[in-house]
Amino acid sequence: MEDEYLGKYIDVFSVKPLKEGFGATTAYIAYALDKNEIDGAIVVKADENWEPKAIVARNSDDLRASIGTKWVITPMVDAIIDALKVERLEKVAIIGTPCQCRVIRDIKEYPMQLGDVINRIKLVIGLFCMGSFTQDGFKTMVERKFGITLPEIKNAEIRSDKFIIRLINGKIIEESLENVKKDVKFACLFCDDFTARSADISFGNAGSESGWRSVIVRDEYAYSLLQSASRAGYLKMKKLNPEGVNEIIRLSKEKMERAKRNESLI
Amino acid sequence: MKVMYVKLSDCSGCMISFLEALMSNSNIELIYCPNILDRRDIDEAEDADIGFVSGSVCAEFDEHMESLKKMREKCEKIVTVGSCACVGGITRFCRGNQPPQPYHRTFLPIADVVKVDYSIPGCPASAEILKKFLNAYIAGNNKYLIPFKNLARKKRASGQDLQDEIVAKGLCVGCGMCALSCPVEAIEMIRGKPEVRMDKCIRCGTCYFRCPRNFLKLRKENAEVI
Repeated sequence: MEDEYLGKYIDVFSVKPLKEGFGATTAYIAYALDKNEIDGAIVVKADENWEPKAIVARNSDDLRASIGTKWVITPMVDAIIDALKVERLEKVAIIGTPCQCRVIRDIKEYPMQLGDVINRIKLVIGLFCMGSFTQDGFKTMVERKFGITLPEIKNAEIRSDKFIIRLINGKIIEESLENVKKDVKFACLFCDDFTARSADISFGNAGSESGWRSVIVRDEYAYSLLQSASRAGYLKMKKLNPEGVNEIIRLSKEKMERAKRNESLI
Repeated sequence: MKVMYVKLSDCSGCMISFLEALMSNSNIELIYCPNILDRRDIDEAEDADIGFVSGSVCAEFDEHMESLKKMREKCEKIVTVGSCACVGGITRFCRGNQPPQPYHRTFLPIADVVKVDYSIPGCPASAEILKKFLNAYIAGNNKYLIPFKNLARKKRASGQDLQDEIVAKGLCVGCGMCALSCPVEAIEMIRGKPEVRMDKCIRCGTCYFRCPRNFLKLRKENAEVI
């Protein structure tokens, strides 16, 4: 099926991770790694100062470091070279924001560099994205807006119209999403891709209730992997209700309108 | 399909890629290529469907200038292969010369001398992209060829252009693909943004074309290129 706002897709689901301590996306990758469907996954981990770093996860234990959303954009250059050229993995999954997914597609379509090793990236996993921060921008934002420092944060996520930060000491800070959106990277204001249209499968919070994640499946192989992950007990899976789909479409529309509005700036 | 290949001032890297792409495609007949075929006189060559040029052209070397102009007459489409032919590449560091002096110092990208229809950048242009280009050209897949067509109008690109037009304008998303594409490792990602070391840059322009922000633009028909 093809939709202007969702891109090309097979079906939309809602999934819940059943593996202890794992998120939906990491549980999905963990299944692929455990069953040797892929040899390695390029994921991002962050240290206590939210300094992000792309790593190559070879098994599901490596994945634990990468659980949770990092709000900071991360260049994956070193990890891609590590996975494809140094370790010479044959089947690699990569997980990234819509822009990063598109770049992988671009390189596959127009292979100006890396030669055919890029075809060893078998699975491109996208994340819903309304914009990310630079590391300095994120630091400044939490310090000025919320009066906290980066090491105090346990995790942060978007729930409906709220940006929720959970601190290590148990405190929860809520802020309206509109307020946070003002601080996203300048480059993100021109992007019209919310659902990672060029990925094989996209994960995101929007549209699902707490504890669940929405999944847009775009590729047969990614679909079969999701079904077997659900059969193997890594995930619980159900069809996403029409309200949920409409919520994703609403946000996608919003991002496209923002891109159109800002087009004149470049 | 009849194909010409002319190698001007370059290192032969692009030609090796081209030969690899040529061997994988059985629909192509190479009718003129002085480096590997016996026929050396371009006047005797028959008309070709497509002509590939690699390397920049030396303005003081009449033989090169003439063969390029004759090639333009004989070929329906001209394709520049590799950065030297497309945007000048490393030959952009040449200092230029006053004609009576017996030095070859003035090197120009092909588009400065004759009309170019498609450009395939890269240092060297990879065999994979040449294969895809040839397949798309034979199949008449015009949509795929749009970026190459747009690039043909670009005569200058380097790490500095990436810095000026993408990074300094705040359009960089920090994906790191410029650093991945750089053949001389002149780009390092520092705190999520590319840092171009101009003393290492060979002005091949691969980073500039690879940048997703730029590439999105290049995919549109008749995109604005500076």
